[in-house]
Amino acid sequence: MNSKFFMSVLVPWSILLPVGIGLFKLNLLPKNARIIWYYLLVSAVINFAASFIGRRLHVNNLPLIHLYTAIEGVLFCWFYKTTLQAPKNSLLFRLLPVLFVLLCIINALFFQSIYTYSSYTRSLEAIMCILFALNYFARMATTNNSKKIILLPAFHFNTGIFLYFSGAFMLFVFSNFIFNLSDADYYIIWVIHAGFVLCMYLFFSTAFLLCKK
Amino acid sequence: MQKVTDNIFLLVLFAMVGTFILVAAFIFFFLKYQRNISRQKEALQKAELEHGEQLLNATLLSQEEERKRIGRDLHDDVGASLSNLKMIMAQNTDITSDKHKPLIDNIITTVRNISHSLSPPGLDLFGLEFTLQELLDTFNTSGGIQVHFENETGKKIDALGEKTALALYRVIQELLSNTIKHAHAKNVFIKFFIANNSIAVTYQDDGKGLSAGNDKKTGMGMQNIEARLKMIQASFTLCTPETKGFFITIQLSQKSN
Repeated sequence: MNSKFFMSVLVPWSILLPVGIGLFKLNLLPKNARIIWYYLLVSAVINFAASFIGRRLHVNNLPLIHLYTAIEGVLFCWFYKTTLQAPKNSLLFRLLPVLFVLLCIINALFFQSIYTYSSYTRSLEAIMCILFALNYFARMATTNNSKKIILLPAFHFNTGIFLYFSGAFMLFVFSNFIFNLSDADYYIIWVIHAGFVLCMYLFFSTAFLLCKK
Repeated sequence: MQKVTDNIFLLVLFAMVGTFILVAAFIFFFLKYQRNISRQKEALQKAELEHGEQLLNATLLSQEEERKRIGRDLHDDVGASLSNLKMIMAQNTDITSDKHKPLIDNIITTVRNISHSLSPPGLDLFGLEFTLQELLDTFNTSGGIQVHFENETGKKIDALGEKTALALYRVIQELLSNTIKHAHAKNVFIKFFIANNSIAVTYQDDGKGLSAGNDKKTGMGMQNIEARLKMIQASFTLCTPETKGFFITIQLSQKSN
């Protein structure tokens, strides 16, 4: 398969698979699955907008990644608040999204220009999601589940998030360094990233398929 | 200081792929661990269930043994003593003994009935059909209810093992007792026939049946029936609440035979 087709057609359009399954089962989705569905919608809109701005208008689309990071961070905080069944007045889950958005704004204003990759906040978000994911696994290992874990939608959502953010973490950290690489090397790294994204979408699709009333 | 010449491309590539593989392996082993844990739990639950069943079987068996012993003692000791007393009184010609004879006869009959209900005496000697017929006769002669018995299995009913025959006898006894207590029925139909190469029984009455609100499934009587049928590895199906009267089908398995 052509790597250009993989990165610019197959992976971006593959988001329609979990979005479609989620839409088909929208009434059956529990709260955490709905949050992921909203995330996918936002992700699809921003990715297509970024693609349009970058490829058609030939304008720097990196400001969108700053916005995307903030929204994604908040949505994943919300997702884990529901999945980990945190108390409604949990201080961590009330403060964390607010703090994260504030950090994104401060980063964009004072540290990393909106025309560069938001590597600080993106890395921070990856660490946050990895910790949440590990917390989920720790809970699963210590609680009694009457149902097989492989049949739980939350397990697949969590696995998708965990795999994606762990794999892409180093890319986020060094994203501004790899701008200096040759086009071919730079391209290879983003193809691998696209593979991780596809993997996450497939896990999300499986999770939506497993959602039952 | 020596200049670092590491290729950043390779470093990022290795870090990304390495971390991904590491996390994938973590998830794989986590799932494997969870599967082992759930298998162990299942095995433990199964063992507990089997142990519970064994305990229940042992309880039911010892209950039957105890009933048999009490029945035999009543019949052999108390019954014999009463018969002796009756003979002694028959030899005395004074008036008071005549007055007490019917009373003693009544006690002898009661003791015999209790003894028989505790341990059906004909089961070992004459088989299940005869013993059931005897039981049903007592209901038919009482006048409250008419029990219609039909056996399409021929001699197979009497070829059942002692444990199975006794369990079926007790189940029918319990069902009849339920019908009299709760159903306000006039007729009961009991039929033994062959289904799925094994003996099956249907029990039906024309009473008020099981209503949705009146859940007899959880009653002590039904629990007793369920336990006894489970002990002989037989299955049963109850009527739906909409059906007129009470209806149950009991299917013995090859193992119960």
